[in-house]
Amino acid sequence: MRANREKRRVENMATFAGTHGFGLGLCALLMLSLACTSPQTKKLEATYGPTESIIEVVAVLRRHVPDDTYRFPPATDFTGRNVYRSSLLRLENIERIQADPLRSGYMDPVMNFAKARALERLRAYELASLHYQRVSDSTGELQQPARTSASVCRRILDALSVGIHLENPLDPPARSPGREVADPQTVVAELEERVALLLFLHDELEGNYMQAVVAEEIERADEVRANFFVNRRHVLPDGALLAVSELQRVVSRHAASKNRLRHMITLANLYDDLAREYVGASPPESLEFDPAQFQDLIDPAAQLYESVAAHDGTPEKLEAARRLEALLAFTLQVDNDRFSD
Amino acid sequence: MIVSATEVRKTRWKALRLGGLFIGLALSVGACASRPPPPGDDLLLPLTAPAPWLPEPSDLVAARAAAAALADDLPALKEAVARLNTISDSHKGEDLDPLAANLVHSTLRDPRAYRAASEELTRGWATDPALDARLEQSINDDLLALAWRRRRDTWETYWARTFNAVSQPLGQAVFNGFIFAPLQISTSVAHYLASFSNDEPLPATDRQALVLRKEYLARNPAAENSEYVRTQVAGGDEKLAETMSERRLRAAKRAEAAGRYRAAGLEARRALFWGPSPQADEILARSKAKTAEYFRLFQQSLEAAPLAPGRKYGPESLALASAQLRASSSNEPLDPELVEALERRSREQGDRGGEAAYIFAMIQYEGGAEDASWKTLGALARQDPAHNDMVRHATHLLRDPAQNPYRAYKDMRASKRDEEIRWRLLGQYATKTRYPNLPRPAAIVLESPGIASALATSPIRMIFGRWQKSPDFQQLSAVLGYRYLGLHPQGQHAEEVMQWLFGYEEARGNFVGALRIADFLPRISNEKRAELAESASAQQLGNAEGIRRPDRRIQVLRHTSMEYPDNEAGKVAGHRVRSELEHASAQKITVTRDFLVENPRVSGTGGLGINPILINGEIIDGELHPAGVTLLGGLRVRFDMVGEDGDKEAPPKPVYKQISSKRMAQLAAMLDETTRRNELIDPDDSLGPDADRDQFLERAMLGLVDRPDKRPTAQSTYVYQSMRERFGLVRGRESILPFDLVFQGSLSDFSLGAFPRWRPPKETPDVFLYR
Repeated sequence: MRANREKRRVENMATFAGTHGFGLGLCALLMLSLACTSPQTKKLEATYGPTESIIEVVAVLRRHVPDDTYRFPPATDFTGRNVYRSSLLRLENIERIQADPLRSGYMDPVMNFAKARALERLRAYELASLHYQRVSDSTGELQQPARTSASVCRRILDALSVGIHLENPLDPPARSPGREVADPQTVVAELEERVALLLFLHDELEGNYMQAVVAEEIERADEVRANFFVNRRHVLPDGALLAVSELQRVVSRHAASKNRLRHMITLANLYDDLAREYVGASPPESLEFDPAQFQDLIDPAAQLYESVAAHDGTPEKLEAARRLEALLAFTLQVDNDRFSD
Repeated sequence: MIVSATEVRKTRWKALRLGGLFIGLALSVGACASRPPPPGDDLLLPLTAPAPWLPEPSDLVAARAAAAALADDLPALKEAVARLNTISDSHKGEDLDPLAANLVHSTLRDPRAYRAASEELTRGWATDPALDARLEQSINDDLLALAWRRRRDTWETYWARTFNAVSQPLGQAVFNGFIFAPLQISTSVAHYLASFSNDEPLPATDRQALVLRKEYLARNPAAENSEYVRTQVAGGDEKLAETMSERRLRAAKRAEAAGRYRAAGLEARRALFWGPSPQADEILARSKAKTAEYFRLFQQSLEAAPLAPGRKYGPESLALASAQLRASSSNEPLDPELVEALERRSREQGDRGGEAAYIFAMIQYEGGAEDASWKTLGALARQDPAHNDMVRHATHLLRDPAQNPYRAYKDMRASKRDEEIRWRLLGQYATKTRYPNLPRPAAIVLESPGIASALATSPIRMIFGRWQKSPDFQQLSAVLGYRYLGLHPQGQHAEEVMQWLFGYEEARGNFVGALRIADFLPRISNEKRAELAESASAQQLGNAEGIRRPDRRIQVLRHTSMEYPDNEAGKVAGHRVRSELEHASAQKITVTRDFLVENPRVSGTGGLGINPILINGEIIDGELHPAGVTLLGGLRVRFDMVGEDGDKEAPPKPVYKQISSKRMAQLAAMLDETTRRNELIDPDDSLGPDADRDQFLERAMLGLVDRPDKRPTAQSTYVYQSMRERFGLVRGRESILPFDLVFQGSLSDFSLGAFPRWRPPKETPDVFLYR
């Protein structure tokens, strides 16, 4: 009997221990599995509501609002996209995904204002102005900043309405017959007027982030002007000279710009093109070929390409290095007795 | 135990009934499984009606905070965020507080302050991994810290080299006994020391660091550590100039050694761009002197020098010159007597004989006697140029590959054959050593064990190497061969060259080229030609498969089907053209079934709104094929369903459907948001770049895809895949150890070795911009 009782006690203890051990093991396993699945659950389920989503985008955008996009390239988000474009797209996404909550309109001023801030960095001043206008029509603390920003956008738009623009070669704008033979002096005068308007605005915006945007527009106006002369250098008197001097002007006026290497490459490309056109018109084997003139075109092109190719970490470096190689390969076509360097 | 026969029968009957029931059940399940997919309307759930939603206090306060941040009203922002922290309502998610804190930080102008605040925010538990990842990226975006990391990479590279130089010989010694250890260690040390000759003063990682520091200075010119950084930049710039100058100097020396003085001068000038260099000055001076000497000789060669005493041109010379000029504009042959006289005179020595020989060679050439002509010129070229002005002309003609392509072709073949033999015997040591900057004899001595080993194992490489792709040694010979055929399609050696080119093209798998040549070869049998046509059509079909643009692909397929209508590949190409046209669509953006399962937000009612029974893994109620759903452009969508046989491996059964603009917009928005979030949380889950896909989705989101964009260049064939589809069940992970364990066996000396090899640091993706 006693032995039986002892046996039962041992069995009970074993069962107790087994049960508790099993329970403890189960608890540990459960905790472990919870710990392991937590990130996965987060990934699948921790999605933001409408307010969180908008706050996140606004935080990212707000951080880059003061960026000097004239001197430095615009920031990119984690996907490598332009942060302003990316923010705009995300705001559009949120509008679609959270359509029901946003219908109540509690975030309308924020959404419109944030979109406008992104749009003005994408040169969509008209749309930006429209969004600012919507905000300024409502009451709230964004009303006054929206009015100011809308006014800046409108003034940029007004300035941009003066003078010519870069043309899309695949979709040139319809033009009146008289416009084709635009007088260079008129073009220059109009673009100078545009630049003057932008410079006034630039000075007024001292300390404001929009100064960088205005500086970008001034740079663009200078590029348009240079481009006009480059494209018409065959029809204007002293066209090649004018084109070179205009591009040199862009290079020297915008030495602080993020596009300075691009401007140098454009100038080098012009010298390169002129050299090729010269060889086309006066082949090296012909009697008209003048080695000194050819040298005058090759030297600055090679030097500019070399200067740009020396800048590490930029795509322009690769472009300049390859173009320099192409230029040197081109000079190999010219006979030894016609080109000594 | 005794069991009666009746009981046995009963048991058997019972088992039979159970079996029958089981088979019946299985059949009925099978019958259900072969049910066709549900009809069109069941594919998607109806879009839900707008649900009533009113903002709660947390929403309104958060909106105030966002507005204050955008309006640069810091006190109002801080007040709103403080208020938000005290609110608790049903709308307030657990991530709103950290997001609001991040919003406050976003107004900080100083990037360092922002990074510090973000670092603080990432501490603790239960932050959303997406927010964590985003903040981590901001924290890591520290120019000076990145510069330091690149600098550390440089040191790690040196360390890895040192470590490996020691570990490898030691590991080999452990396996092979320590008798050879001194030799192996000394060899390893010698190679280690020699490897420094390949280093530049400023390696790519240091160049990255230099650029990062420059950017830091540009962005923070008045920072308190700017002076220190400026000194670092100045030092880096000096080394960069040294590096680039050395590179250009090496190029200049190579060009000078090869006799290309113009190029040498050019490279010397490029070296001088980076600063003064006496060596570059010397090369430039020598280059100028050589070029000037060349011009002097050139001018001298053009000089009209007076005739040598006793030498004069008589009437027969005038007659010859006139006859030649007359013949140059017509096909009239020269007078045979004149030719005979020329031949006689060509045997004379001196200028007179040289001129005659040259003209006689030209006559031979124009008469079709190519070989005889080159023979005459060869004899002339062997004469002394000091006593015969025509020697240089003959030499030039003989050596010019544009005017004597056959000789150039033959020479190139011989030279490349030698090169190939060297490569077969010496492998990687055939043309260069690993230490091009060391004096060549020293480099060869260092490499001698490797060279000996390569030589010893060359028979093995020759046996097994024939199945491996080897360099195309004879490419230049082929270019010269084609040049010869272009100049002399009916030339004396045309057939021989064509025969060689035919074999060459066939051997490198260019059957289209071989077939083109075969048409000019008389001795090609019909069977061989048919076989070639089959291979050429297959080659063209294969090329078409690799073309991404549908219009160009169809163009090549159509060309293949018309060019080779009697061949198998030609017929296949014809069918493919038809199939491509029948199944053409403006877009082909696919979202696989697994992706929809893995991302329920995309498949759910907030996204596509697919009927969940289609992705529940049950064939019985209809199932989406693994190929998933394809956006075809406009609002058209194709649902690939598992066919009636229930076989997921079988081709899918397509069901086409036009969805509403609203559904397409919400699908596009949800796809974009979800993939962004996935990418942020898991770096492996990255979205490949595809501009056409992004353009389509952006337009879809704005409801602008009612009319499909049918331009072939606007088509995207992007496939959204699940992580399992991309990486399989187990994703490959990098070892946490900084080194790999290597087991190495050498056939040359039958040795074994096991040793740790330190991994050099991974290069950043943009390193190509720093070389």
